[in-house]
Amino acid sequence: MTNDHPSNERFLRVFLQKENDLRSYARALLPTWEVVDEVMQEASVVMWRKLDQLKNEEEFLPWAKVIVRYEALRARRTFARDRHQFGDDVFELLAADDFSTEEEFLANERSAMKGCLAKLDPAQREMILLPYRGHGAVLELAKESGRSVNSLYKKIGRLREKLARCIDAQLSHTGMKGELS
Amino acid sequence: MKQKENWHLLIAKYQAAQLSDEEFVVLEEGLRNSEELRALFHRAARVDSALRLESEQKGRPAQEEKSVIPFRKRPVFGGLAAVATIAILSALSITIASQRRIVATLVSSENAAWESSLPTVEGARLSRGSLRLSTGIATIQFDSGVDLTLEAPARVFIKGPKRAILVHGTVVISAADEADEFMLETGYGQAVSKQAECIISVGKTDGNDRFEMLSGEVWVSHDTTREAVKLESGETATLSSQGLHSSEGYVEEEAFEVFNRGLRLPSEKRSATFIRNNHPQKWTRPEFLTLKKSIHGNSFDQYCVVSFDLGVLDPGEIQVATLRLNLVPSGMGLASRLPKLNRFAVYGLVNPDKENWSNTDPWEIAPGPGDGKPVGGFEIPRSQQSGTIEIAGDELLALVKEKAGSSVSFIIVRETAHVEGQGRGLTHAIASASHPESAGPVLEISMK
Repeated sequence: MTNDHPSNERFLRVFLQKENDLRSYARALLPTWEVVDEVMQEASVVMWRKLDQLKNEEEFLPWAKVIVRYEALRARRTFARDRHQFGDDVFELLAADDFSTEEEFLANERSAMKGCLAKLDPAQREMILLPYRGHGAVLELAKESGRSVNSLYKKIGRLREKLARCIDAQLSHTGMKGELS
Repeated sequence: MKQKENWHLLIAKYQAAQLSDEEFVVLEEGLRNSEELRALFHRAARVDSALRLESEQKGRPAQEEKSVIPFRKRPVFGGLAAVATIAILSALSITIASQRRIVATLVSSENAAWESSLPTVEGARLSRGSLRLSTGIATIQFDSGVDLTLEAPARVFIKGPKRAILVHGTVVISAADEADEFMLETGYGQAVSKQAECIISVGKTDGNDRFEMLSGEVWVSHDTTREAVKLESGETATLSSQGLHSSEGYVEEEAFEVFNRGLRLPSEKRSATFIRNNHPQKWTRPEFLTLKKSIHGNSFDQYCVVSFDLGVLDPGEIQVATLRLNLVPSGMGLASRLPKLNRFAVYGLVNPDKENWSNTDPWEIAPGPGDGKPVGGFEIPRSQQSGTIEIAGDELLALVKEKAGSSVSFIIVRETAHVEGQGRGLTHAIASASHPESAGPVLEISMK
């Protein structure tokens, strides 16, 4: 029985530390959370197997992103026929545009995001989280409120923009340059 | 400014799988040509991740069923959290409902009765979704080469060709030699198997997850403690709120759970069906507690009330309370005149003026839902006319504690009516204490 094997512990430790960053990276490359979850599952198994290749744990994130990118590429081939998929050139641009290599920046951004979410009033929070309430939640609200689905997505888009601006402002306070301001 | 707002809108709709083809072209072109938009897109992905996590952590108000399993974020491997209700599972898929992908096949179904949104005939191809096996044995073959054999009662949620959740029950995983890794998520963690045969149970007796290896290797990990173990042939592991515990040697023959300090209270003499036309002698039978509802409220509407004597109980000692009912065929009416799924509600009587209700009360006086507060509910497919129904939860427990020392009454009603058109809808029946074969209503109480 292999319990608490050192390499297993090591993998779990570094993977769990960076899981959210990797998940966000995968989300930028893939059209749905379903595919992201599957890709992350595949990628995590590959990382686990190949962990010996990693000499320095500080290099885990870029190394793991390469694996996620590769698995995302494989998934694109599988799902290519049935959903909106960006062309290969756009996929490569997104995969290569690594705006998040600075881990300090990511940590600050996460903290800013948390603060900015807390600043939204309850109704705004409810609205911005609506798409995560399950399929049809936006449509249901549209029916109930007599508004169009598009107008609700516009509102959600504006709230996301507000959130992004707030995050940039928070980052500039901490001396981090907000990348989208 | 306007352009940026438009970008945010396009990205929000893209992430929700709501983009039109034209909008998709605009977004793709923008991403191709604008570094700024790509930066915005990456940021939006990180925000999307954070919001998804936030939404999951916040939990969901409308759960399909009451579950004792807490909802937490599910990591990819080993990580933080346990599984939740099917409604929450649906939330994880947020944007993908219109994008169904076939991932498995129902290859065998022996004497099986299902409750499922997915097809359940042998040979049916299955997409992501929930399957509840009420009776029998069935095998799902995933496209990754893994077979999952369910033994009733069991409930699984298919997530993909290499991934499923065992919500409760027992399954046997077996994989062909060339099968890929397969992940089965359980209440407290998950198992990743490859070319292995393994028995996995969730919540069968003590609420823990059990893993018993028959052959091959399986990695089992705990969500919160992050412990992990590789199980080989003949080894077992248990996941509980305390963590992961593993041992060698096959599991001994299962013993029945010891029901320490438990009470099974039968319904007292007060147990009756009330019918709107006030002619129970003609339209109801003593062996049944019957339930019926028409669309516009006709004279044959029926509901029942059962009462239990709690005189012997000390509220401080009560830990768990479960109302157990046996559904039996009434032989009255047509199941095909009902909706496919019928919803029932259970109310605890709280109106003190109705505490002394009698079996002979007329409809107008008998305690009704308005005299109670909701303590639970259940759903029955129209095709099912027998089985055991358990109702438990915080509301029911609180009421039993409140009524300890006296008696508690439950009002049981069918909330869904028959379908529009001609023909009598089925009358649902619960066995009363007079039923010749099935037990009448029982209130099971566990004491400290």
